Amino acid sequence: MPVLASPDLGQIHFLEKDVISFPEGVPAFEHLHTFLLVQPDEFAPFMFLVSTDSPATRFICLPICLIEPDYHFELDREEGARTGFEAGAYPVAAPGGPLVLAVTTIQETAPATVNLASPILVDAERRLGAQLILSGTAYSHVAPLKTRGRLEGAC
Amino acid sequence: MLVFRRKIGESVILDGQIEVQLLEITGSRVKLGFTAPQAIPIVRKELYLTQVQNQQAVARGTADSLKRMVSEMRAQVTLTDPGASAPAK
Repeated sequence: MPVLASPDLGQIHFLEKDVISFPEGVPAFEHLHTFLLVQPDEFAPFMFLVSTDSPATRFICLPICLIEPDYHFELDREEGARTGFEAGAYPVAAPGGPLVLAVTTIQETAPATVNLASPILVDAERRLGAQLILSGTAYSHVAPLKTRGRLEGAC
Repeated sequence: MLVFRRKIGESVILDGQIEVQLLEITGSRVKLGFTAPQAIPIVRKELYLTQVQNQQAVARGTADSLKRMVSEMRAQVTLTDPGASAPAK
């Protein structure tokens, strides 16, 4: 079984079938194409998106519905074609729709922020992920992290 | 902010080396063309902001600082959410 040595999480044992492919990488890390989504109980509801090629590169993510229960956006055809996700309204209400995650930035001296303008989609079934660049969105790249009184539940 | 009026086909030059040309206008959308030395990255602002945010997200925060945050958030939820399980008295 392959193992990653993560500076944050220690040794992560994983199966090849759990690797999520990000064909375009993510902005500023376009060279990293494979990630694991790790969800240790002690950090719930946060998840770690860890690069398998560079385990020190990790994104701390939150399901956006825990931050903004009414969060929604329209994925246009161009961005859908770039990322491999179907154009249309997100989040997808039907079961099995992709996870919609926000990248969290933890600050030592200021409140944490979440990027609501560039959601990460993860399709568990296709093992496919992408960070979307939403044009003309009213959501902020640096929204204050507030969890609206709940830390778990279905999104 | 410096403002110019330009017609289709007209350009502005930045710093003697970057040309921004107005190519097309369709409804509320404008098509711009950029000519610049290869070393100058040109990206849409929303992509640039995401790049910056991703770099900071990777560089900042440790498992310890996140653990502190998680325990603060859990304490807060227990205090504010009547649905959450309250500690036994």
